[in-house]
Amino acid sequence: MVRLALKGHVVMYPIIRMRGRKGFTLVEIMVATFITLYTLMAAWSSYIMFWTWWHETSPEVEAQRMARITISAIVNGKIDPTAGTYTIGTTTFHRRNGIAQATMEPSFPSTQAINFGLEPDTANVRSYYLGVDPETNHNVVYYKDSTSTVSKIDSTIGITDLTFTNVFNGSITTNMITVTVTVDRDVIDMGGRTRTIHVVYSQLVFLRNVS
Amino acid sequence: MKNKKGFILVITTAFIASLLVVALAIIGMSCGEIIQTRVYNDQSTAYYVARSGAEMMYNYLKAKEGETITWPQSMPSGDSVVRTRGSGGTIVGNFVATADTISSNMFGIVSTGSVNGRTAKVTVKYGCDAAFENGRPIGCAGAMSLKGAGWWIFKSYVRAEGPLASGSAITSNNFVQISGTTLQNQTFEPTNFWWKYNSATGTCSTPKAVGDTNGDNAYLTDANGDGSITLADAGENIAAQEAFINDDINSDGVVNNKDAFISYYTVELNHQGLNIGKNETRYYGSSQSFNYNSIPTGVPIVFVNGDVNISFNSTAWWAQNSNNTIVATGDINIAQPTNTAGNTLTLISYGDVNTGGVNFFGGISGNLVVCSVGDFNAYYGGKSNGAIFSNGQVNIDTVYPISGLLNRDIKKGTTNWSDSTNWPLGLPQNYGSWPLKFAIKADSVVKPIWQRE
Repeated sequence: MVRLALKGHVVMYPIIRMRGRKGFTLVEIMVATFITLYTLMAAWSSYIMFWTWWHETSPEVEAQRMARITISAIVNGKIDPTAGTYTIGTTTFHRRNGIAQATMEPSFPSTQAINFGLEPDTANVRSYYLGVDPETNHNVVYYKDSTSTVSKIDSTIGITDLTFTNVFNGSITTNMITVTVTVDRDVIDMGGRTRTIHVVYSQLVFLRNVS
Repeated sequence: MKNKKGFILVITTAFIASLLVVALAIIGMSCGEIIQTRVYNDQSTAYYVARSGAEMMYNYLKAKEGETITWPQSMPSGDSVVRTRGSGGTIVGNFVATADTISSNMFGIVSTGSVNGRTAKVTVKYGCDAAFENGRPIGCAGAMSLKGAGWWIFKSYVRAEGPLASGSAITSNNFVQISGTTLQNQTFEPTNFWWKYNSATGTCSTPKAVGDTNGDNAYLTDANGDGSITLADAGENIAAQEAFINDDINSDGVVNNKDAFISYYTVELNHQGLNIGKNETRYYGSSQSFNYNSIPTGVPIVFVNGDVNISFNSTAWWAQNSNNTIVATGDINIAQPTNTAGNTLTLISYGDVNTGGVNFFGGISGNLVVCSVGDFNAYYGGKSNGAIFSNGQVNIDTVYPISGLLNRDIKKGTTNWSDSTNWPLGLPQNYGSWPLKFAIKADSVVKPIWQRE
């Protein structure tokens, strides 16, 4: 006991014994180490799992996105000043340059190109075709407008293949075509092995404006 | 080691925290991809909802055919939802569709689809007839024959907007497309020329008695019942003989419709100051061949006592931008009666009107109005806005199956004849006209054009 004098009073406090509490017992350390290692292993496994999944999945997600964007860029197109405008009532609308707006039977100079015409055109004076981007040396889709001005669709850089085909159903149908985009990506898995992701997007396009 | 107490626990916690951050990032990116896909899906669905809205608007307007329409048009309230199939289907999306005019013979539908806040807009343009009155698209008192041609994949079509009307039978083959009604065995009042100038109205609108060519009320009838009015019907009556001589305008020994025809143009119509009487500049006493430079500028009507041959030209044959009329007592043969867009070329023939390769190479245009006492024959391809009526037969044949070159498109006229100032010069008063109500033109005649905004 320790006796303390305070303003003439004597207060008695018990002494806390610390000597037996200055470390962990061996059992405590072993249990703590085991739990820590177990947690670390679980975390590492999760990390490896996420890492693997992400490295294998993200290229596929990206490839699918690229294929989707490519299809949309070709089928729906975007507003094209060379295609002009039209007015319904008092509202003026701009025409888009997607092949879905084609007004005459398209032609196919190769399987990787389509020539088509929009409403103001009198012939198939516009084109979408697969080419090689000289800056990246990767495939890319080009659009040529009615003034023969060629523009590169940047969001399609890196696709593997692009094909246009007529739909055959006993006889040739001229107002239904299939657009197919292929995107290949090489992925190295955790074992160091390389495998190729092969994404193929295909869309059947009904050319409503082609009689 | 006092300060290192719990170090490994801190490290572990930090490590786990970093893993959680990585995991959250990956999950976030995955969720982002899912959201992006859903947005794309909603936008695509909105596009198809918009298209469905445009189709529903089309059906709404289709039900209004035959009515007088006021523009713009909107769907009735409540008809703006697209559902999945089946009764009580779930709502896929909403749309707002309106329709308005583009021109006098074209309208457009604007439809905006909305799905989960994502919108897409489509427009579609259709050909139509506005409510007005113009000449008969194709009509004849006799039989009508329409023929296209086809061989293997080569086809040339007769495409007539109609309505088609015949006093007899109408025959056609597989290469004829008619977008309007077909009316056979109709009763027609043949176009006649027994009209007298009315000074009160300033028009040739007062009917004459048949036989009274000059309108002086002194005329013969078929007294002897031989089927014609000749001098024999006058007998010994000097006054009657004199009346006959006065009414026999062309001095051929018989008073008939041809005398009325000649009189109508060289006497009655001349009251309007057109100067088409004998010895006038617009009167030709014998058969003529015209090309695009042979009609003097500013001459709206010419009369030819004989046949007329209009020579080939790939552009407008008439030199100037105006409405013109050619009247012939014989046949009118034309290789290519193209005219400037918006103008009217009126051909009035006491004989036949024969057209060849209309618009074989060049662009067309204008309205072609034909009034023939004989037949109307059209061969090979071409197109025109037509108001054709023949007192005889109508024969149209593309002859050769050359796709794209020899289609014969005969469309309705584009001028409202209920406005008297638009009535083609020289057409007699009883020339048939046809009231047109709102109607959507068939896809085969005017191709609908869809656009995605």
